[in-house]
Amino acid sequence: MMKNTLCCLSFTVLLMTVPVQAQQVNIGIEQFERWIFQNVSNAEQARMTLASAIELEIARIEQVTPLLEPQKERLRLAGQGDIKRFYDRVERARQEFRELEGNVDQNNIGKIHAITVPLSQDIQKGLFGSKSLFKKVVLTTVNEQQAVTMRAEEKRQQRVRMENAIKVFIAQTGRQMPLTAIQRESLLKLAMDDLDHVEAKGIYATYLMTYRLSELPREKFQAIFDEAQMKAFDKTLRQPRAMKAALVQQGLLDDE
Amino acid sequence: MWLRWFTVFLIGLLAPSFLYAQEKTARNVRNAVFLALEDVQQKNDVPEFLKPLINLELSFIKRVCDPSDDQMTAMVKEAENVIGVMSDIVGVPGQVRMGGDVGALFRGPNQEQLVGNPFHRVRTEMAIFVKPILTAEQYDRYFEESKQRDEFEREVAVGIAVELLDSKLVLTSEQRTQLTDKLMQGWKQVDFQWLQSYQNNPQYLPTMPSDLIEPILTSTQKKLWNAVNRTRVTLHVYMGNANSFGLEEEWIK
Repeated sequence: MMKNTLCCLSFTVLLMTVPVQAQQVNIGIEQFERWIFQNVSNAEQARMTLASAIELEIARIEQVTPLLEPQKERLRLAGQGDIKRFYDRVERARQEFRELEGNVDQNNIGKIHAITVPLSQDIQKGLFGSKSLFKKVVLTTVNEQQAVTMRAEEKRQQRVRMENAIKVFIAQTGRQMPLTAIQRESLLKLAMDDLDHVEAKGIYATYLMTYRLSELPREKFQAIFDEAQMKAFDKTLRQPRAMKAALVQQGLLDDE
Repeated sequence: MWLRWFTVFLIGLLAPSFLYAQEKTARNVRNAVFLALEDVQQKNDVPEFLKPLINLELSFIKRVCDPSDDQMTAMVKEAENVIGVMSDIVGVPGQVRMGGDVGALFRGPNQEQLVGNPFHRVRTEMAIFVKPILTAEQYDRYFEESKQRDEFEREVAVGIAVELLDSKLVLTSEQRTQLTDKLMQGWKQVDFQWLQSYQNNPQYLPTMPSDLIEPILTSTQKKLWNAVNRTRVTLHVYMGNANSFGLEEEWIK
């Protein structure tokens, strides 16, 4: 994300420095690819890095449950499929660039950059995420027992994520209004007891957890905080309520 | 206004090298850009953004120590001095680095690069200034509560660190316990707000103390660790403005 931000800034800066008369901007295919592959210098090097990433993904699964060689082979093929799909998109992007190459000016440089952004974002995030062929093949490749083990591990990680989200929220609250140790412990207990069933990932774990917290009866918090703190806490809880639409859209909340 | 245009001009001068730079060069240029921005912004020597933190600490002391009105008035007066003492928290641009004990990099609301953790610094300075005003018993209470608060925040940070590592390396229950113990003992400067940014950007990992982590890992996990360790990116903690602090107790204006 930071690299993308830097890239965007470099564009803005470039546009500011090109004099109005000097329309042409010299952007070559190497530069274009650098915008896509960011810290990996070129497409070929990126291909090698991605190929080794398949093995790392397999190693990560094997930390949970051992895989048989034919299973690993299927996963390698799926991973290669993801890489191929990605490089097909890179090739289409290159073609779009070539159509504009030699005719780049401040009017279309932004357009060229826009072509690279989704690709560079995907390579930064990794190609074997939840929507990848690799992940889909994992589900159809493992046997029932392996699937049970993997689900249990996923559930455990989910639980840890949610507990951490609660603790982060409390620590964060402590940096916005003073909390004594007893207040912290009471809030922690309240949240842990009432939010046992919350399931989400990433930033949405925090949103969902704080939303659920905001739904608890106000009296439960009044028993913990003094009046001034309660007033401040009310403001804190207003933010997650505003997140409801986003949570419904993500399928994490029912549209009651 | 001219300052803004000058800054834009300065950024503009840096643009060509910025555009064609490899990552290392990009980092240097970024520092230079911040330098230009911060030179403009650091005309204001008093870090005003610290006031809400100081007010927060006074509110904390009030709740923990139950001071008399006279004590409270005296502490508020002393707190005004804390801001002066802390003017060195705004670092020289480009020269603020993470310490040997890997911590977080904080930025002020106007991109000021801060030296150290402003929350910890305010707490440390306030403890010095209010000690002569509080009774020994009140101060002990404050000291103990403050210690527990720091410990809780560090536990939260270490919890996130272990979660991040677990998601990449799949740790056993024993490894998680060992890592938690090791990091609690040896990673003193870690801050939960800093690691929180990585929870929201799971493709990156923060710089972590490898000497504490690696001995606990298996050979396969070390291989994974070395791979993910290459994607480390330093994210900053941005201080919000005064409006982000909810308590309406403004001891110092």
